[in-house]
Amino acid sequence: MDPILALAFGVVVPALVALAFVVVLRRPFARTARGGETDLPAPWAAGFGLAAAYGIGVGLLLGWPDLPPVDVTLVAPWAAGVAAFLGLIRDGRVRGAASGVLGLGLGVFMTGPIEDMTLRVGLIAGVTASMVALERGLARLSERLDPRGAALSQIVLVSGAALAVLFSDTASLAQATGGLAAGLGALFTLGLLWPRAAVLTRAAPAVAAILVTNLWGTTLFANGHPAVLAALTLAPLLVSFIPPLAASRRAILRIAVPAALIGIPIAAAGAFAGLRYFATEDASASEHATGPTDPTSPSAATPATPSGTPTTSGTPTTPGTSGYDPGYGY
Amino acid sequence: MRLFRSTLTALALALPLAAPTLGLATSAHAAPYTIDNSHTSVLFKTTHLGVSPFWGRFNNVTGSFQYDAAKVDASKVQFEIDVNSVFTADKKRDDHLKSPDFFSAKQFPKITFESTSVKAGKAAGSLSVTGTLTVRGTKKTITVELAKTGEGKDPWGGERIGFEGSFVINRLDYGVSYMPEGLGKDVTIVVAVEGIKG
Repeated sequence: MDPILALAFGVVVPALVALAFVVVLRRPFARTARGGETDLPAPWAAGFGLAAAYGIGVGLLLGWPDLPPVDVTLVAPWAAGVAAFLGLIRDGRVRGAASGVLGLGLGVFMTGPIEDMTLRVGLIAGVTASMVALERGLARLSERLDPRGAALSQIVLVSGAALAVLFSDTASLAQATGGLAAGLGALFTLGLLWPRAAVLTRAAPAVAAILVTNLWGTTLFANGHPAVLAALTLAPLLVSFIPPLAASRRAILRIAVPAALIGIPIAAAGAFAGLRYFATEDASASEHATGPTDPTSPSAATPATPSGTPTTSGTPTTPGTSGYDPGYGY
Repeated sequence: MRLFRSTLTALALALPLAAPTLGLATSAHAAPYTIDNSHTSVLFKTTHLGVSPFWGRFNNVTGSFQYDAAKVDASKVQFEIDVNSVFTADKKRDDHLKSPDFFSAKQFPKITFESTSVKAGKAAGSLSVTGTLTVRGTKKTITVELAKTGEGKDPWGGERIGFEGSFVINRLDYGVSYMPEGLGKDVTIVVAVEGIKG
């Protein structure tokens, strides 16, 4: 795709869509939201805005996903759409429980191709738990911090997730996840002028659904790593338990410190994912230098030999992995 | 006893004549062949940044076909391609091709083709094979013109036959939608199949 077009579809359009939802869905709901005040966005508008921003970005970048979904890695736009409706639920605990039900459904759908039933049940539990942990973590951040600090923290989280997805050999989903970060960025920017626009408490289910789907999708069906998934899923919840984050009188500290703190586990996860990615690249280069090896063996993930001496060409196993047919006769 | 013998004789004579109406003719004439993976090539070609053609291949192809030169309509083809056997001489690129950006091999480990009709092709001895191609869970009907490239006995007593053909698909139709401009939407697929009789 033309870089200008990719920037427009992956960043500008999602940002404008998120902005439009929050700005437009304002006055009709303002009086009921907070008696007398007329300058409030609908509390659930950000969830719909971010879900729409992500979905439209995916549609423009990758094509509109099938309905019913066929590809488990492309279910996020639909999951986000459903999750946006959970933002209509006022009670946080009920919203968390509903997110768990959505996570269960996502788990059942996403693990469909996995035949081992015991493994599948465990993975469904994992997806459900991730959804609950992430939704609760994001909601707690938004409830306890300066809204702009929470929004900036979410931008850091989503950007880290996009990087992790990229390092799992899935650039298309990384690009789409970047669209979510752009939508959040737009709301954060608007929040600098109009702080209530950055209140994302009820957007937590939509953001969580997108991240859970993309992170689990790339962990199960690409080269993502469970440790990266766990770090990104738990980071908001962990940071939300640090008490004095919202206490500073200086707005810059209230905004920047939570984002910096959440950035620590996310940076660690990103670095780990990057090291894995480049280690396999090195192993690949080594393979080309020294001859084919079996990439399914654990040694294939480590570059060359410690002494630097050329490795032997190894034993080819299947044509699919080494490129050579071991059964070739004549 | 004589009546019993004459009845048996009549049945023995009648059975071959009745066989076509019993549906036995097709299997009797269309010889079954098993695809010989070692001598079968499935290549694909796309463009890189609109600059140059780039070729890759799938190393594992399994399947079978039935072929009857005298009654082409009775022929059938089915094969499976192991997506994990994609090979472009660069492991990193092969890993990327297996990822959800392209074939999503963990969810969709096979590319399959199953014929729905076979007719005589435009050129003499060629076949026009129409069937369902399934890539990344998406089924589309395609038609492939296959030319017979050779036929004969091998040194080990087996009988072999070869076909070759090519067709073009728009990969976006199958959900393989990453970098459509940079890597081209149209993919040319060349299939050269060798089958062993029996």
